[in-house]
Amino acid sequence: MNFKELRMQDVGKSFGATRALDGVSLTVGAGEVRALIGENGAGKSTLMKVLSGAIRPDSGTMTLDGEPYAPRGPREALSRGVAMIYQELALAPALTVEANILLGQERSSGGWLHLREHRRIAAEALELLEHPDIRPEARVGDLGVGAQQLVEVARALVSKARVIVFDEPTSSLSERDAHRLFAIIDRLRDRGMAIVYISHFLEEVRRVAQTYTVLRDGRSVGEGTLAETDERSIIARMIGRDPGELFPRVPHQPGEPILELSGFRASERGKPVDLAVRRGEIVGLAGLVGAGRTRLVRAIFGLGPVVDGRVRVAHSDDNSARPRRRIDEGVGFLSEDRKGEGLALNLPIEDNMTYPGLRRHARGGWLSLGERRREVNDWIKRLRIAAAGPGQPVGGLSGGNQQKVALARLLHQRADVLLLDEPTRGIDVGSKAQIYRLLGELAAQGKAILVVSSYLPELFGICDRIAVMSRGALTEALPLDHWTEHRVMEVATRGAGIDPSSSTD
Amino acid sequence: MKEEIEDIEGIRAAGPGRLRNVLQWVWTVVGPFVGLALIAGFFTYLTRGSGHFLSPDNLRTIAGHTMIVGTAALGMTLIIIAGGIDLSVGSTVALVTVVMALFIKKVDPMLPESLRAWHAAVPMAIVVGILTGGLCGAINGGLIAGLRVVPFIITLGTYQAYRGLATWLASSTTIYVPSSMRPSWFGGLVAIQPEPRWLMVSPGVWMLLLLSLFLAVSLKFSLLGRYSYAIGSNEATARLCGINVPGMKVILYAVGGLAAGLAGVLDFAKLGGVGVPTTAAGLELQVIAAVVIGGGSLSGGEGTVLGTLIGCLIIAVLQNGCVHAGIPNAVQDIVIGVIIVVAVTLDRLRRGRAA
Repeated sequence: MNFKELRMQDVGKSFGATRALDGVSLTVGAGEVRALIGENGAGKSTLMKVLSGAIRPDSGTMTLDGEPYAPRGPREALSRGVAMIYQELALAPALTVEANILLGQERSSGGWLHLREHRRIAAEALELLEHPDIRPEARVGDLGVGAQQLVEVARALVSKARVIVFDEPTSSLSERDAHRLFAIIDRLRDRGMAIVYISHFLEEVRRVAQTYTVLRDGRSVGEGTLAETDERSIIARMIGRDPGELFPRVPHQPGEPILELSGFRASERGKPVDLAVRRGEIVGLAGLVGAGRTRLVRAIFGLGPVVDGRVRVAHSDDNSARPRRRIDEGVGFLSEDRKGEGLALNLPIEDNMTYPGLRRHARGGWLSLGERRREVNDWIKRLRIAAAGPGQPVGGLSGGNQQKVALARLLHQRADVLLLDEPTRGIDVGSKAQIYRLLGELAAQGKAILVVSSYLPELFGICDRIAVMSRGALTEALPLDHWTEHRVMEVATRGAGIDPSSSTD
Repeated sequence: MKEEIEDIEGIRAAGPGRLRNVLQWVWTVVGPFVGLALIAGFFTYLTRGSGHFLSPDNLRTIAGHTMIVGTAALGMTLIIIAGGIDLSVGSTVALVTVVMALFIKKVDPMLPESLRAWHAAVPMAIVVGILTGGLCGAINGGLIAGLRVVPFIITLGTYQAYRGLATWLASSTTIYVPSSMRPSWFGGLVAIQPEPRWLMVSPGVWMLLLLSLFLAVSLKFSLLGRYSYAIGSNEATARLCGINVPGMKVILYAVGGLAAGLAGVLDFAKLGGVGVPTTAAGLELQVIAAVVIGGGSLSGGEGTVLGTLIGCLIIAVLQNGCVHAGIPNAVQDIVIGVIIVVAVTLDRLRRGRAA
């Protein structure tokens, strides 16, 4: 079949009052890799879902070679030749490579599988990817993430996909696996496939794609060829303003250390961690997903086990404290999983904001709701949380406002040490800028802030010092001028099983 | 300081606004009332020939029938709000009646004559009965929190075990308390026609109403109430916010057990001071049905005392109405089953629209 192009025209989609997609147009042709660039919350994942048929757009048209394309589900999308490689891999870990590659596309007659043909098809696909080293009979769960991703690509090949959409495919890959993947994408492109490559890492986009489309707040706000565009103008389009405005700097002065870790280990395979965070400073924890950063901050807060070592908060020395104890010591924790753990979505803002500090409003177990409401209203105003009122369920707010509620909780509990795990994940740019400024102001008030983030520009934009974690080992926390983004990535991937000589060009 | 924060993006959709919240509230609170009114109206129409259905006497009877289910349902409301469930309620009630009967038989003869004249063993037995229920609940909660097994399984186990214990203690028979050991007022506790008459309904019903009021206030204004909603809505959030989740579970199930214990006391009185190891079979399902019909969600985080009371009334009106209309028991059960499914489906539709 001679495939030419996939075209999306003015595609729109609303969820309630939120306009997730607001007129997105995108074209990708055979033999082209188009980068879809945008911040978290810009509408990339909604666009993916529209393409895969998981949701149906309210307006606009999609065509494949001029033929209308309106899939009613992933199965139909696949049968039309549009395949998705999701960030969270959609594999069955207990099944073999071969079974996964042919999942849903089994060859059979009368209900009986043609296993020999399966073996041949799987081997062929892996050959095509130049990875015959992955054995078709291996259990997928036993493979590394990079290999698992290849299994997904192989599955797309077997389905005779003509368009493959990659959703931030390198977010959990080591540098070497990432480069392998880029080589494979090059090969797929040369075979005449159309590739949509979603990412917000510009360096990587330059390596793999030729053309780009920028998405912001559900709109396509710019496109062109990468060779003719500089990075600054892409970033400006992504965030809708000059990058300097996104990271407002509020001057603050570090004081005495308030959180100290020595020889601290949060897991058996983790290395001893030493770290001191002072009042009035923001320290960033960089690293790959799975490096152990989340585990570390959770252990500090008492949500995970402490294997070894010491934690000192202010003047108290208590290694195996539970969250209640930490909260009383003035430690606040923001979860990376806002919806699953951070907030109780069907409860009102006022409840969500006040749980850790609720006892403050209680006399003998009975609450003074008026006093609490006054405080909550105050925080809603000060953090500019857009809400109908303190009684509105938190689930009805936008991601940015939800995150502000989660942050206000730490302020309401009067925490002096803030442990923030991915504080701006999945929220709009405007809220991000507000949160960055708030963090600066809090540091200026003398609070100590430890930020875990996988988004490097953010760490460079707000932190005073950065420490990099790799496979459970933490570097010293060094001032910003000791680091470049490139250097951070190098350290972050160093421990991930690659030889140093093959690092980036 | 934060006044300086710029509102760069402008305010996003501020959510659905007050009107929808109000409508939702009206639907949640009034919905069960409407259901109750419809069912009551239906039976009034069916039995219009006799005209007895809406008579004060019959209303008294209906109220009286909600006593035991309602008391136990208060505890269940709390547990279901916190995302749990307790299948052992009926067995706990049976155990309580047996323990009370054995206690009175054992203790009464040991008391000095002056106290015996006052039937002092009975008030003591009431306390013992309630505490027995509380202990059963605390064991449920302790096992759920300690073993980290879902409440359904744990209480399915204790549902068997408590019933077994009751039967074993009673040597597989019914335990009669001699009438000389029973004060006259004891039966009056649950009498449909109260003494004195100005009470209008049975003292047990008044007690249920007072406890309901107390629980409703507690749910809104106490740490315990707020923490229950937190745990039921999102246990991970509760843990994150420093709430002692395992400890709270033990307390919640213990409170649920106390309510079941009190229901056991009422049942013991209703049985006429007899310990019956087979009593209250299937009570837990009626109790759960009442909470769920009243808007409680088995996935936790939702439920109100008022809703639960209406749920109890709906079940009582159905049973009573079917008797008056001469509808056989078997059909009653089918109707109640249908009502449960309809009520929960309506609730889901409401939530679907709200989401």
